Amino acid sequence: MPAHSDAASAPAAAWRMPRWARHSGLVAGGIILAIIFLMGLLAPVLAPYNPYDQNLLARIVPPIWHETGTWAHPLGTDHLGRDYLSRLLYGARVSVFIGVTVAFVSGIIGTVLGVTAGYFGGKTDTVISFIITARLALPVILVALAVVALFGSSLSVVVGVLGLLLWDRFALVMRATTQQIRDADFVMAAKVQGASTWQIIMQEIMPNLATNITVVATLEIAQAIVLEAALSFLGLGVPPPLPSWGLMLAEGKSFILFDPWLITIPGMLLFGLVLAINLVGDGLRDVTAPDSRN
Amino acid sequence: MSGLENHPVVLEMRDVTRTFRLSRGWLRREMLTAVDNVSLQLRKGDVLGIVGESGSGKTTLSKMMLGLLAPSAGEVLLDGKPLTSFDRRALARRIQFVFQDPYSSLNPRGSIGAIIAQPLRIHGIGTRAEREKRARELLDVVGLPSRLFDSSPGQLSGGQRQRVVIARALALRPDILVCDEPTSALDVSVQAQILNLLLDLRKEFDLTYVLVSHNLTVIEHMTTEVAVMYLGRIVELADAENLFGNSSHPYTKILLRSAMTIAPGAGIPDVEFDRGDPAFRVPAAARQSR
Amino acid sequence: MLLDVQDLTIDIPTASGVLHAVQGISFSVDEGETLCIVGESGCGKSLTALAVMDLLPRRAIRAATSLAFSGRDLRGLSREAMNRLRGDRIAMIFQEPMTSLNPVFTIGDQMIDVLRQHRKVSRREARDRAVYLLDKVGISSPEARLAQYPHQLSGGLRQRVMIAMALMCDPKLILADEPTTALDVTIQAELLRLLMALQQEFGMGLVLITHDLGIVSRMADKVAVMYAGQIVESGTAETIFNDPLHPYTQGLMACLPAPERQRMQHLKAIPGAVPALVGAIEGCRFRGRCAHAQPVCERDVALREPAGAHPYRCVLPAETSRDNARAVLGAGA
Repeated sequence: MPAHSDAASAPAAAWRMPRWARHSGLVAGGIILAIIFLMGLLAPVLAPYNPYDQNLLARIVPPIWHETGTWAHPLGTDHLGRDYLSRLLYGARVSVFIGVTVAFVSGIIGTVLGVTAGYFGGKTDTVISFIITARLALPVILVALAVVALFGSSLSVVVGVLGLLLWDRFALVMRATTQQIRDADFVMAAKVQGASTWQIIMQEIMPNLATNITVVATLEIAQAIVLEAALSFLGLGVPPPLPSWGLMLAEGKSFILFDPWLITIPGMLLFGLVLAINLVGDGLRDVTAPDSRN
Repeated sequence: MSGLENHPVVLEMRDVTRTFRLSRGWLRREMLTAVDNVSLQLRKGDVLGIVGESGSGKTTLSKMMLGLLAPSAGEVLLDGKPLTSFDRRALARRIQFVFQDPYSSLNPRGSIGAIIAQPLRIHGIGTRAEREKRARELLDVVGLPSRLFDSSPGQLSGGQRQRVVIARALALRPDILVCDEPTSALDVSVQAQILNLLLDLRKEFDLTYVLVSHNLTVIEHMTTEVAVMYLGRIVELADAENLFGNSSHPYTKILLRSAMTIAPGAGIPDVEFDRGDPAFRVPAAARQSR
Repeated sequence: MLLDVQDLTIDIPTASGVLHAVQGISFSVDEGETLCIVGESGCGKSLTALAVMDLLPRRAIRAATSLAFSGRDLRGLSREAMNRLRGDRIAMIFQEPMTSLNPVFTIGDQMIDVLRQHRKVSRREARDRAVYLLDKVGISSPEARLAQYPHQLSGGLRQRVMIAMALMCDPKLILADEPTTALDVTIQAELLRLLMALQQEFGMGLVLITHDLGIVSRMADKVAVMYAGQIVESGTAETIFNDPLHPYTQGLMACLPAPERQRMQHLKAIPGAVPALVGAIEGCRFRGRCAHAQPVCERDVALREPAGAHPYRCVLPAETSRDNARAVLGAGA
């Protein structure tokens, strides 16, 4: 029997919500993500205070839901009397910036390596596979710590180190997917039409990798944000007084017993951000799969 | 006789052999001869049927015609010039391919219009608007409604997809079309539609076909010449009428007998034969005509 | 009656509505009898076999007024009871032998397991039976084959192994779903011959599901032609092929290239494609592609059996249908 069924074609066109809007995970993640992005983007407008301004007379003011809370500092202040809400708003910028930039840098490195290895195969593949294996043998946290210890911590060092370290998953996924697509008939069709290797990779292979790139990118954004938080927590991430959520966790750790909100608020935001990114990644994968009924 | 004896030879294969290395052993090398010393001529207007079972080398042979595989020995000539003297693009304008599986031969990420216009885009022919116009014309040529222009392949049935594949193959106005099992993935009622389309296009665009198939009744209906392949060799090459009328080769006879035509109560024919028997690989006597 | 199916319906809920995959079909098979269910992709013929075996996808809904095997109602059977029946009394052969054999076990292990799952026999006895059956299906040096893995065999050999495995428990009924479609024509002929011979020797019932009218005409005792989830025509092989009454059957027969047709000329294609079966459907399923469609075809058509004809699902009188058949198929019909 011919392997494909024509019978399950679409019913008469009825108006329905677009596919993405019916995916509840994608919608929920998207909303959280949009809020966090807006927080970062509008931080200068929304923040009631300068996030760097210290007020040693108002240190560790609890948030508004505590009995001693005050509307002057809705989420309280930290141990240096800096307004916590303002720092969280600006911190969103740092976390999102780090996540996106790291995923971008590692995405380019990993995709180039993976597609090259997958498409050309043979010796090229052997060499690139060796590079990937070598990279996988490096413990990310230790290398990052060593580099930061050598060059000092700054935002660009953190982004650079993580970007140069986190491309392995991109490379592995792109290599495997490219290998599958390389032998598809439509790639052969492009060859028969006289397409150059560059045209085949850009027009035939890459569009079919888009879904995978998006999904891996969301995973990497989330991982980069968590890693930055971990590095900051260890004192080797972005340098103080830059307001990053990870650094805020680190600074709050000494107060965990008596003023736990110093940790729980940035912790929950971090959790929400990473969760939202993963929801969006999963959702995009479901929604952007090519429209096919066979 | 097909009446095409005086037409010029467009494609010729001279003593073509193709071997593949099976094992990547260091000392031990196992070789597979997929195509073994094949010679054939394709004349303008011919429909050359290549029939054979899996492993007979018919797909390898068609890939060499398209320049997708280089022969290990022998040469392929297009208009008397070696295929290697043509660059990929020049070749693409002369000879095109129709695939067996209309599901994997269309990029799932493209729109139908973009897929049909793709060869023009690759060759940098025309402006965007001109390419779109040409794609719409081609959609009409293969009998598809123009409303499908913006659809994605996933929304089309198998038969419609195969029409898109054919339209794309015609975009560069080639004069040779190699069709590899063009209907074997389709339902029988759709198969007739596609075969009819191929017959129409042959007249309309003055096409020369190579039709690869395991289905003898399709080959019989559609071709002027037939090459029967067995284990890498052409064991018989004859006018279609001659071959189906009075074949001389034992393997051809077995193939003819195994074709399941409608014959109520006839039972299944006994076609058992010794696949190792070297007699089956000996080509039928050289043809008298030509 | 070995297998008796009455009014079988299969609905599959999908995101865009209920897919009415099979809509009230009835058929029966006796011992030693071959029933061919013929139709194109999406007509519901494979689901029908899975429904008999209770192997439908989980979300599919099966209903029937009768689903009896050797007089036993299959509808109320527990999963354990059905498991005992499957592979024992009813065996199934699939299209792709590579995916229906387990790649990590040897042929011998798999054949022996099938028997020992259903019968209290020693490994030695089961092994002997496996050797006997491998020999029976024409596999040379069966002892040595037992130790081989599926990937070491060619497609034709694998399908022979599948047939031998299906016979391990001496089943009463074999359901074969496109058993030779993936194979070369000469191997297909060998296997079908083998299947027919075995069926006669062991007196089994055989349900053969295929899209190939040629095979059907040569193997079937009884034929059911399916289109879009319904049986549109049924009868003995002789009546169906010598006296096709439904326009779809006629169209299928006419659209095949065949030696007696004019070479390089248009074939009589059936225009259009199979309709969608999602949501409410009414009227003759074939009317969109039928040359004889009339306003009355907008209403549902029953499978009817007028005097002097076999059951078919069309409003045209048998005589008119016969005239049409002569017109499309030529004088022979």
